[in-house]
Amino acid sequence: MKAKKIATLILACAMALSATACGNSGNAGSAAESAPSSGGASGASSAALEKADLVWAGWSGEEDSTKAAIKEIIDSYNAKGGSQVKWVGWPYADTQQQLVIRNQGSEALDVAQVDISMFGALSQMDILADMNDLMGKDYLTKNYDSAALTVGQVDGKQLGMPWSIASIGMVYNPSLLAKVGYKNPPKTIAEFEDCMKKLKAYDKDIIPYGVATKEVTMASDFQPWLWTFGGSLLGKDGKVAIKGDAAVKVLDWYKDLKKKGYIQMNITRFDARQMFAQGKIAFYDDAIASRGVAKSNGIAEADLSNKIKPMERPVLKEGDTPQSAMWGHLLVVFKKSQHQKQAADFIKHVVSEEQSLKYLKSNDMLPVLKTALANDAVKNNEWDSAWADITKNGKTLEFVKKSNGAELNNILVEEIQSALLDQKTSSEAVDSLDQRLTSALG
Amino acid sequence: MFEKTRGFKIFTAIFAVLIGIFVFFPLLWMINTALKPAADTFKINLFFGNATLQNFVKVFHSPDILRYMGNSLFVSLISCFAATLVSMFAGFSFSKFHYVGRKTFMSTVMMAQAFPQAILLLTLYLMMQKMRLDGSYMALILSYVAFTLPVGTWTLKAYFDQLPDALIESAKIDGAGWPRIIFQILFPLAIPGAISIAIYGFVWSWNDLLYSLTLITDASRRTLAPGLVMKYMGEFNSNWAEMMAASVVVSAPVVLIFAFLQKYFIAGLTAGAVKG
Repeated sequence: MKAKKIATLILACAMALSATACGNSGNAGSAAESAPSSGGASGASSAALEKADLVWAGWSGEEDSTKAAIKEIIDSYNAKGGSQVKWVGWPYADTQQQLVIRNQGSEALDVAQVDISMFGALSQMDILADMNDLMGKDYLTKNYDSAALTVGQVDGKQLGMPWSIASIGMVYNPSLLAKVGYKNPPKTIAEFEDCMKKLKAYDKDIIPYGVATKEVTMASDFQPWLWTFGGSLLGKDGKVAIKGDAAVKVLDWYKDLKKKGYIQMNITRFDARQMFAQGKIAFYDDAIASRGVAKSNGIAEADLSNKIKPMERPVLKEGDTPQSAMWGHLLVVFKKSQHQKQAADFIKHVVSEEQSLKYLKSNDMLPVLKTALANDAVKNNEWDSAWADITKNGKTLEFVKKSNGAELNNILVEEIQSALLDQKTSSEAVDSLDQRLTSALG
Repeated sequence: MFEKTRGFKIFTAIFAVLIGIFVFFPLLWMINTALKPAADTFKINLFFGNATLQNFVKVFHSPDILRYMGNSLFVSLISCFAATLVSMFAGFSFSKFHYVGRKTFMSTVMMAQAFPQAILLLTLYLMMQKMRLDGSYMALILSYVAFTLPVGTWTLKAYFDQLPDALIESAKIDGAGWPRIIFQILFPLAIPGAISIAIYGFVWSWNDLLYSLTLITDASRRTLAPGLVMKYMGEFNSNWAEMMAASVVVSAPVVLIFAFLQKYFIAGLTAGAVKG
């Protein structure tokens, strides 16, 4: 009997171990197979490269709002007669997980669209090819916006090619603000609070500021405010630097806004977008694509300029730099790809002036090519040029390049929520944040 | 003997209503959202007076949704049938035969339920790749059968345990061979248990997101769960009104199955619970 129990246990352990072993078996030989044939091939044209079948993975080709634009990019490249690109898509929320899974196996995967929030974890996995080798560092710095290139750089390597980079800034409802006497958006925090007070007095059902107070969007909305108050999560040495007056002040400010009814719990950026379109929120944090979102949420095209405009984040005192968090999409090439040069050539097509200006027109996503940014289509468009200005001061969110960024963001969200719910004082929340982040960063 | 006093009956009724509200409120809200115009999605009110069927009309006019339903129906029916068949034979084997390693193997099958499906995803994905089944319906069907088998085997074993061995003995005396004993005597008696496992397997396959998202990338073969997510849940926005309408529509087959076959489902799950 005892022998049977032991035999059962051994069999179960063997099953568990084989499950783990199979998970690693797909990686054997992948590094040797995927080494690029030579470096710095920026001069190679599509015609000179051997034709290949490429797989481009992501999520935009599945969503109704961007499907047509992605198809146009792929069809226009395929029409050149060189390599042929095929799209493979997943929902946005599952893309990172799927990329990780597929990189374990032998499935063809050459180029992927990644969000800036996914890039950190993928870049730490040693599965991404260096664009400096594929395209040439000089070519990249000469042709692409430097702030955008920085977003895709890790330890001197260009592991992600920026496709569209803009800041998460703030947007406001001009018609609502006009009703309380604000013809222009507030510039300082004092003006911002005054505006919110007047909005609340005007209509008690309005949530003046739809800042995210739930889920990961709370972490990305909080950080620019922390920078505004002079604080930061990490120091230049990469160690936790949250402890200090600035963090306590910003948490106290959040608590005060909640107490006065200017912000509300349980709001994500998704919720804020919907409620903004219904005129229930006057300010919230979003990116350049927010105008398209407002339109799809029911605001008529003719009303857009009256209902949504970008603004610089209010500053603590006049003269301070308005803060914003960099956001965007990057394109990556996988080390295991057998056609890295062809993949790089396709990326050049995607971010080219012609394609990126079409993408801007259809989806309000800013280009990264210098010539495209200088194009009249960007400069003469009030919305796009305002975002381009906001993006100039954009900073990368502090956990975005950490492999355990999701865990760190969760810690940040939990502690902010505990302060907002009065489970902790601001000081206690900051102390707890300091301890937990230090432990998580190792 | 326990007496059901009036107070007890009132308490039971109130408790049942509370449980019912707790269980059915999300469903009610889903239907409520499906019947409201998109602009009212986030309003905390019922649809009365403002009801619209526009969301349902859009769902039924969407060729994508209908294709996903067809794919899901195909995969779910085949996997539930295959899982039920294999579970019947396995359960019968464990119940009526005694051989070396039987108990060890039974315990291993039982322990297989302890593995979270997400952990096995990578292993199964790599296996399907090596067998060149990735991207095919067979990869999904085999995965769903694998996850339904432990529960199915144990449920049907309990069912077969209740069938007296005398049935088999008397059939043998009458000259029946094993195929006749299995297919004409024992399996018909285990049909309620088989139906419960078939329902379980069908619902499991119908609702699955993770495996269908990973093992199928071709849009033409996509099943319901990933199809709905990709169609209605975007990076910037989600179409909740149509999503809720689509959810109501795709829930209908499962609701109908439970409505007509629930007695078999309950009988199958409780088989062997009471001795004798």
